[in-house]
Amino acid sequence: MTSNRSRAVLVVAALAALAALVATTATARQQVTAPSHVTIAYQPGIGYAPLIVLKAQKTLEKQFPNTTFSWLVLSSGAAITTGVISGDIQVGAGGTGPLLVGWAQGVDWKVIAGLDWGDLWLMAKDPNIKTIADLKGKRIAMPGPTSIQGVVLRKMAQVKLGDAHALDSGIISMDHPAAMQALMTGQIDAHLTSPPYQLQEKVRGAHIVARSNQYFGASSFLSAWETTKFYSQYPDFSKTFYNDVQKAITLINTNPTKVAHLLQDDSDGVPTWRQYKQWLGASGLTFTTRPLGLMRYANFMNKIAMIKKMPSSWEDLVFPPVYPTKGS
Amino acid sequence: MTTVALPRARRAVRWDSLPPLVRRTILLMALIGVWQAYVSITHVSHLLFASPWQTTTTLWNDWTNGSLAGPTWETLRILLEGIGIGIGIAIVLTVFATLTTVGSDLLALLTSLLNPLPGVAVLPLAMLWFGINESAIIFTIANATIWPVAINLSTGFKTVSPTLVAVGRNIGLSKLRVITDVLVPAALPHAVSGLKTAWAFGWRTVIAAELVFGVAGSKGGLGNYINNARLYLITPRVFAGLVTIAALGVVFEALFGALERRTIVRWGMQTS
Repeated sequence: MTSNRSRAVLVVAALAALAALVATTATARQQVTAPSHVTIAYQPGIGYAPLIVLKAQKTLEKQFPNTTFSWLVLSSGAAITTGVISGDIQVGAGGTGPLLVGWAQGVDWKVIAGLDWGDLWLMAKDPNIKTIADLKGKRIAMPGPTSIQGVVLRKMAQVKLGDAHALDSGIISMDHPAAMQALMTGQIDAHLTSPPYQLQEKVRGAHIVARSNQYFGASSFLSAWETTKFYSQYPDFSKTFYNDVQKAITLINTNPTKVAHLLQDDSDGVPTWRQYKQWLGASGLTFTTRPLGLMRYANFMNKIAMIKKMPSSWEDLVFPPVYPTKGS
Repeated sequence: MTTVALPRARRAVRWDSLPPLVRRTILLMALIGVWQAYVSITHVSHLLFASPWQTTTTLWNDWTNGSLAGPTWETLRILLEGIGIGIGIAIVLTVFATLTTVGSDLLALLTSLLNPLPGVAVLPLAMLWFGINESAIIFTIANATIWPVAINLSTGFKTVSPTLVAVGRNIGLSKLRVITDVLVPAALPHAVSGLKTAWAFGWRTVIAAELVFGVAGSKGGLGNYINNARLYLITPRVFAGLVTIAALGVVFEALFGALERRTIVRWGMQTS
């Protein structure tokens, strides 16, 4: 008897929950005013997995059937900045460097969702390059002088050589895939990079000269940005986007096998999902929407005059949906 | 002359009667006025557009503190090296083409194949051959200048009056002396126009190559200065870089004009 009764209670509760869910999604669908077109731009790298999951699962396309979505892969945060300024890109994603340079120069944007924290490695192939000091006069590739890698290199130079700009003349702007080839063929001496390129380079015989976490501690690598104008025009869309990123990150952390398959599909089967799964496990990335260390980067960039305006707190740099993550 | 000109000037200042320099200065001022008006009236985002005033102050600051002068010299140095090598090779090729039929066929084939290639198109190949450094840019500039110079020089040689060459041969000049003493001076108008084309091609190539490269050589050039300004979103610097390039263009145009006046115009080979 008791078992029957509890079963009945369960069924009723389940039905109620279902009804509530249907009701909320129905009202949500009516209330959300969504833009007619959204272009989302990111860069090469496994750090963008939360966005690639959304893209592969067509999450946004299903939630906003009246919106057309375009997904762009650009080679640097600077390119994404240009796109956002010109109005071609509504949601851009990249490293902390371009985020802060843009913010300080008056690009009216903030973080709508953090994507991950990451340890970025400075890779070299020549065994004689062992320390930062060995890099004087060498060619070091990265997406650009304002990229997060650019900030990390300045920090390394400041700590080890006493001058933040000691290695500036060696910076060569290249996207990560091209720089990996250039490092392997000896056209450049070092590559300050990101996962999965640092893992691939290590497998192919390069070694780690330095790691960003040794200089900045665990901190945000990538985040997704919107302009204040776009956010205030479409707050519901933006909130939904934040929740979707959060769900994608939960999926990455709970079911990496499934995510690896999604990444494989997105890249047309090369690399394989097994490769992706291994990278997700060994990448040095922590997927989370919580921004960490934005102020640490801002402080350093301000000190070396990369930015001339300081945010008063990390909340200046993020939109309300991110507040509860208690970032820094 | 002055008695005729004066009453006309008193009646009304006619556009045609003004000296060219004054006309151009007035037009330039008007353009700058439109530019300033556009920025002031539309309040266009400072990330997209710099006003003439911002551009001027940036130009002044960066020229006085050396952050624009350095890149400019760097670009000019690389450009001169590239063009120098290019002209050298072009002269050797053209002389060879003038002396032998094989050379002439080879030059015709090479120029028809390589001249239509935009200069920067060979940059990826140059990067593979020379690595990511100055040599790759110099190679690209040399390649961009060899073909226009060679075409112009050989056209110049071909269009020299046969009588002149016959006279040279008659007085017993060797083949080489015919080239140096008869063909070269006679082909000078073409050589100068080849040089002008080479300069224009090389100039475009060096800026484009520097924009592709992060840093060219140990110090960055003008293309790098502009690109960096874009990365740091300092738009007035982008404008200052462009103004510098335009101003250098005007200066070199004037220099070539002076060169022509001193040589081919003075010798009556071309009217100014």
